[in-house]
Amino acid sequence: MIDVKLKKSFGAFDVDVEFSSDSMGITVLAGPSGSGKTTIINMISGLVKPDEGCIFINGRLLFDSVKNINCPVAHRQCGYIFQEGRLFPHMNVRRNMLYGKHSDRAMLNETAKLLGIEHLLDRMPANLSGGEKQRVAIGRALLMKPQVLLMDEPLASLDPERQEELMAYIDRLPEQFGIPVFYVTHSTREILRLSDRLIRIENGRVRSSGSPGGEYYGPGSSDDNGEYVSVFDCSVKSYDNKFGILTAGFAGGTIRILADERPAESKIRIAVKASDVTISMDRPENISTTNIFRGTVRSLEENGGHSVLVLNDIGAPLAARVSRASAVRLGLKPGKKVYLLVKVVSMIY
Amino acid sequence: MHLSAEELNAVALSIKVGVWSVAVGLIPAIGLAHLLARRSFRGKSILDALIHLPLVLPPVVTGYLLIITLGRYTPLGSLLQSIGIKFAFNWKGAVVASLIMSLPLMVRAIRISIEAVDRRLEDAARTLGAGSFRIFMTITLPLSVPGIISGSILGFARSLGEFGATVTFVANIPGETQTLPLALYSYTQMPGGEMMAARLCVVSIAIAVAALAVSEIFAKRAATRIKR
Repeated sequence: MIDVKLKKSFGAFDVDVEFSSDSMGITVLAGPSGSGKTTIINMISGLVKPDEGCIFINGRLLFDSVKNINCPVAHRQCGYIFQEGRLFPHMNVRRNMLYGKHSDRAMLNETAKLLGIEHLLDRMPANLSGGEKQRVAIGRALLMKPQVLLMDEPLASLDPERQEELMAYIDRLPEQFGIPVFYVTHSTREILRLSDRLIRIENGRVRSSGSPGGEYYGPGSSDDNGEYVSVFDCSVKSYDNKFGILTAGFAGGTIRILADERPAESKIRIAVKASDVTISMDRPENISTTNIFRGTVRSLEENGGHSVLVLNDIGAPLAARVSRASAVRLGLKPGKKVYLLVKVVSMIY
Repeated sequence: MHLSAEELNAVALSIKVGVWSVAVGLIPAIGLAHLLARRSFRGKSILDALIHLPLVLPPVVTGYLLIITLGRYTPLGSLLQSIGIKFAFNWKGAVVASLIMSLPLMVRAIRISIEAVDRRLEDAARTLGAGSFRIFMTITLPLSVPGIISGSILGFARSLGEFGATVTFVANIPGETQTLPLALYSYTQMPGGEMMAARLCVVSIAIAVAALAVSEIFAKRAATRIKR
């Protein structure tokens, strides 16, 4: 669906990436701030010209530095949702949504209804909440019938409640509108919730590309501070209304998570930061922690500091970060059987 | 306050010249302002300097330059004359002089407001399939309306006050090229003309204040329309 090879130099910093995604769902481009994510989607949209490379979207060649092809932005058919919405302040919602050159007027009402903004059509953008603005921006991009939807941290300026609300809409876009989405973020929450495919960007390079499950360094946002995370794909088993505890099955058995309500989806994804995992040699009794897994140490990674990253296998990979002192005291080494403890409250869901 | 026919003539002529110079100059001013605000090209600083020249030159010099480029016996002057346009010693010449003098002020005001339009909105419009002309007409222009209004009022006010270039280029002919400042000047040079000069002085203040008030109303309306 999308196939790119891009090079762009900004003097001290340069982007040099190559990736392709045939996912019809949401492909997340994740990485810390300043890693080049936004530059990459700006190059795809045509707002920034790459120094070298080529861009294919749905088999259409949009840019090729060798063949000297550079399709103008206006003809690329890439719907772009910006961080700040960028609604036109002097036009009402209806005029904003129909601004696109080939906007599908017949679809206006249906699209507005799916995005929950049909009652806002005559309002001016200044009278909309942040979440409503972003939904209008999404509608505006969808109505031009784009080949792909590019989203640049569309939730960054919203409060957590609005983020949740908008994520529900974004999650459904590929299915409802049959359009692939490229989504830039550095939030672990958004990666877990939205990604069908994850491309991790660091220092202008692709660090990994594939399924969002597994283990890797988090993108370094405020929610994980660049800590190593283990990500599990789980299926919801039951939900305890009284205590707000969600029980889910995954490759390593059963896991309990704190959740405000039962998730709408039956498949969810959760993450655990390595620094939130405790290692014990015996099965602890009379302890508040209820997620206790039996596992085997696979390997230890030292990074020169006073902490050690212990990679374990509990049926699924689960990393733990402990002090070097503890690692020595417990005699941790590959092959050793251990118990791994994760508090219900420290799960990122 | 009763104005004599001669005084009324001067007032009416001034307003006519002011309105015409804004009407003729506005579109070129918007075009030049957009060019200077949004494009980079060779000779941009030369064009910029050229537009601003009348602001810093003595107006008499500007008037003289108009004579030697548009005068009756110059190539450009005779070319214009052959298609029926004559500037020498008539009100159209006064419009040309006012236009040249007020253009830099109009371009400046409009340019500043175009530069203040968020380019990211223009980028957003581009991703939605809009070409440069459509972006200009639907985004840039409507969002710079406040600057266009204040530029027009500035230009109009500058035309009302125009003296040096006008008197040099088209002389001081009552009923033809004698605008308000020219009439006022003539009265001060005439024995017993103080009273008439004072009356015209009051009239010019009234016109200027009215123009400012009108621009304020329009600018406010435009601003609320954008923000609402």
